[in-house]
Amino acid sequence: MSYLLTQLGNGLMLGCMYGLIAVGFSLVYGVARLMNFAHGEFFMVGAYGALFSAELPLWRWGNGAGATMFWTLVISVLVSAASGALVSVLVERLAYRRIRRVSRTATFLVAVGASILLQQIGFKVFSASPRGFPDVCTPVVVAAPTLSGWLQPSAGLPCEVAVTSQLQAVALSPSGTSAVTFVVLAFAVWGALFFVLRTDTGLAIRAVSIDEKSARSVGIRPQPAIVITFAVGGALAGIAGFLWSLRYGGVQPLMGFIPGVKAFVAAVIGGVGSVTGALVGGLLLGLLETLSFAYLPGEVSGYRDAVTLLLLLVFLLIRPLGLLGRQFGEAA
Amino acid sequence: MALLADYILTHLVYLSILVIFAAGVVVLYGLAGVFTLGHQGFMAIGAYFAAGIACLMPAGGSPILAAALLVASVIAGVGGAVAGGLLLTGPSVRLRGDYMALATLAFAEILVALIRNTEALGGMRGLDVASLLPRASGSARLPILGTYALASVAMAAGAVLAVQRLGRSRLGIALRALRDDELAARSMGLENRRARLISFTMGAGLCGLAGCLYAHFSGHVSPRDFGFVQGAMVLLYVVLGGSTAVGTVCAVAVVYFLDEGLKLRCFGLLTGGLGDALVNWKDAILAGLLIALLAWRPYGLLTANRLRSEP
Amino acid sequence: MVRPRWKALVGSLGFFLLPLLGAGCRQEQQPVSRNEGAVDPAGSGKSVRLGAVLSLTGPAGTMGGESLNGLKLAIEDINARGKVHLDLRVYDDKTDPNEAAKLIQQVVQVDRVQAIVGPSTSPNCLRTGRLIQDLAVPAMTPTATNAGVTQSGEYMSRVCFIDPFQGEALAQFARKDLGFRSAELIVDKANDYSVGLADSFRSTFKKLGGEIVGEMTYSTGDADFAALIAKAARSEAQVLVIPGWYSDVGLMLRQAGRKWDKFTLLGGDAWDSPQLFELSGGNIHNAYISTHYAVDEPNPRVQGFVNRYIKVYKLKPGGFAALGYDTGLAFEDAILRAKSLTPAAIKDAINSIRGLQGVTGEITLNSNRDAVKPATIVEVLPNGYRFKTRISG
Repeated sequence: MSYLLTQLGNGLMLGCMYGLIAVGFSLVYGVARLMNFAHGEFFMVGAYGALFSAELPLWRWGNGAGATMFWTLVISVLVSAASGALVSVLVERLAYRRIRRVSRTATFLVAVGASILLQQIGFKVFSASPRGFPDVCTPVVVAAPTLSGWLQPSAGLPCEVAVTSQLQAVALSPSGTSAVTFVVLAFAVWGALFFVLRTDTGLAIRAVSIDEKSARSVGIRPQPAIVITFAVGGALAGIAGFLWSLRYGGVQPLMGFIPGVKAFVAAVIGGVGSVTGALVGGLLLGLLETLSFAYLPGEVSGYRDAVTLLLLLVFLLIRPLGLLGRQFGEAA
Repeated sequence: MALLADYILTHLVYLSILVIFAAGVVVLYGLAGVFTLGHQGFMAIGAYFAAGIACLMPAGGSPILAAALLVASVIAGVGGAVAGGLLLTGPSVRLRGDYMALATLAFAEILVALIRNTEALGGMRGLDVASLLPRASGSARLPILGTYALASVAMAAGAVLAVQRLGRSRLGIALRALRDDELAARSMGLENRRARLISFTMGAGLCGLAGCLYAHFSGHVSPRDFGFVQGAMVLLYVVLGGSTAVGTVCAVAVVYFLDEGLKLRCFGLLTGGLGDALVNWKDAILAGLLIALLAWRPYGLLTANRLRSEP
Repeated sequence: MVRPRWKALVGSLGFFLLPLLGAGCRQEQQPVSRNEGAVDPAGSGKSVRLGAVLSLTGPAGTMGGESLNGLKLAIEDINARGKVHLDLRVYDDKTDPNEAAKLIQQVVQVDRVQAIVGPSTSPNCLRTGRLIQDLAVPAMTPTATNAGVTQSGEYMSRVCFIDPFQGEALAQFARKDLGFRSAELIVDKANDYSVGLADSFRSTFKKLGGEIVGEMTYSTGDADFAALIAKAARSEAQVLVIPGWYSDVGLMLRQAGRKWDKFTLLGGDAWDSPQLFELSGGNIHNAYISTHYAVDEPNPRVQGFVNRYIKVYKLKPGGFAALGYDTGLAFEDAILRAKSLTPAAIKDAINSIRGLQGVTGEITLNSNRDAVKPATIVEVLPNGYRFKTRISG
């Protein structure tokens, strides 16, 4: 029984992260009719932003280990959201804005190109080797930081290893990490829903997604709405990136590709354009993946990817709007 | 000099395979207007079928058996790809635009996921393809390579010509009419289903052929070779080529030129620090250049016609 | 769309040809005399151009990175000794087999090297084996251990032991030294190295009377191991055998937290990376790996190398660094004995390396061009390794 609960918990957490990325994706598609393949890269940029801010020795203040940890986490969330949003808006401005009105295929190709460009820049600036996310929840082992050491991972075992004394007393177990993840996820999800469903800006964005012309005729300008949507989507993806690396550990330039694809699938299953749909789709996907790995025998469990995609295909054929999607005037 | 010729011939073969693949996509996307993201799946089918048949070859078998297996593998590869194409015809009629793209993408990714998990197909590690053709090694390397290069260039030229003829034929015009405005076309009596069937057959078949050739020449197939990015690149060539066969060849040439140019430090012109930077950042620079190219000429490098509607 | 664009087609021919000719121009920049490897008139000995195609980045990045460090150290020493002069060109294949194939072609045909160091990983070697054999340039891999690597032909050789032996050694250690009866395998099915090593462990362990109670798989690059960890935690086995790369194992160990405390962990030589500690956050208990040497071994040659490495790089050398160093020594040995400096002659000289004393032990290449060496078992502690035992073939 406890095994089931553990795996359910794993599945939910994974699902929430997929959902968070999917929300951004869904929002952008709704507003701009644009499949943003570079969305996974915003996730990656957010993770790196959080990595660097967590590694900065500035936050290791002697106020007490608990406070240090708390502030490190808060700053990491903010930095990851900000970096995700920043890159998102940049990509929209530089890559998508002009091409979007011209040709759908060209826009898609530009999106793929932007995704590759971001990955390659990540390779060069951050180095392609996976980095461990500094365990803000356990005693930290830190060699003297230099700028290049900051940007590039350590190329070998430091000869001496120093343990900073202020964090030595604190050791949050992995379940503590999970608790933190859940709390941040809950806030992020609540924040996203609140923003879209309860604020005026959210209303404007929803109006533009339903019908751009009508929205314009009541005075809503679509371009700022699109930019805000990109920013919000990017921020959510960035936070997901931070949480992902906190929980799973590895940070490397390609890390956004597969979660991006999975979130994409989740968005479509849940209904592209619908925020709740994206979250539901993400949860479904995460649970499906985890539980099928947990309960299927070893040889078969590898097929879970194929099953996920088959699910997608079935949805596309039977109900392309997804579970909670709305008619956008050009579905099947 | 021999090394240079070796280098050229090898690249010629791979470029020809790429052109054949792109020709298939021209039929699917350029003529039939299917926003396809799954064409790499057809190539994968072709490659794996060919590899499978090739593995039937016993060690030290006779050349006649090798030739027979070669022919069989090509037939199987193309046939399998065509079957896959026919599978997609039905759904393609009902889905539009982005949803079609997603469905084809899902198709290709499911195939790849299935292959990745099937040990008999080598899983993620891939299969080594038994050499049915004489191996280009030792002293005979250049002549054999030369023959392969000649054969593949000929096949690529044939594919391009065939697609061009299709484009100019009645069927081709009908396809484009259906693509541009289905309602109007159908009101003129053009039938969607038959046209789609033929275009999927030919398009998937060409992609499958490219897959067979790739399997035999490179000697190894793995799911990595048929990923989403490779497929998107070919779509890029077709879009840059203005969705025509000849234009696509030009686009392939231009991108190849940019890629190699960066790799060889702007053809040896830029040395030192700037040259090194070009090589290190080659992939990023190339991605940026391609985005810029697309933004500049979204309808194709050679098409100035902005009135042309897009699928 | 309907008019022929022959002018464009002819123009594009130019686009095709220019890069190909450009490759030729680049070749002209290399002085031809170097390729024949004449004795350098300045009297500094035989001069050979080496091309290194290594995995410097990617999931096996430290395999290439560390071995390159060791190799560069060796080349410094060799060039200083003066009898052989090695000119090294380095390329990064990013742990991608297709990239490795492209680079091998480039390094042979554009850079015109006389011998190749690499590729680093077993998948990359397996992929490029046939190509190397066809191009007829000798390649020596410092770190790839899968058995199939050298089966492509006589142009492929290696400085390290092979996985069939490594798996046996691990199984012997688990069964005889540690006395375990039941094991669970966690295999990376996307990786030839992992699958091969797991196969050889499995068969030896069973032969020695042990039982494999279960097997699980993952793929290189997976990030979320939560489900796998929970599943493995339920296993009845006494030891978990994870023959994967450090980049995945590190994440696995970090995510496992304390859930795997009841198991002993066994790994192969691809754990041996400083990144293992960074990625796992030091969360390693009760683990042993088989690797190529032990950094705390009291042998003077080893300690000399270790101290030198620390002085130059300020880091402790892992197994791959030592292998990289020995690869350099192997090339020096071969070139000194080679009848001429054509690739074929160098190949013959490499294949007849006997009794070369390296940091990782005595290197003798057998008829399969594999090095027959003992496996060193070290215990993995949260911040380093400790020598445990040595198992010979």
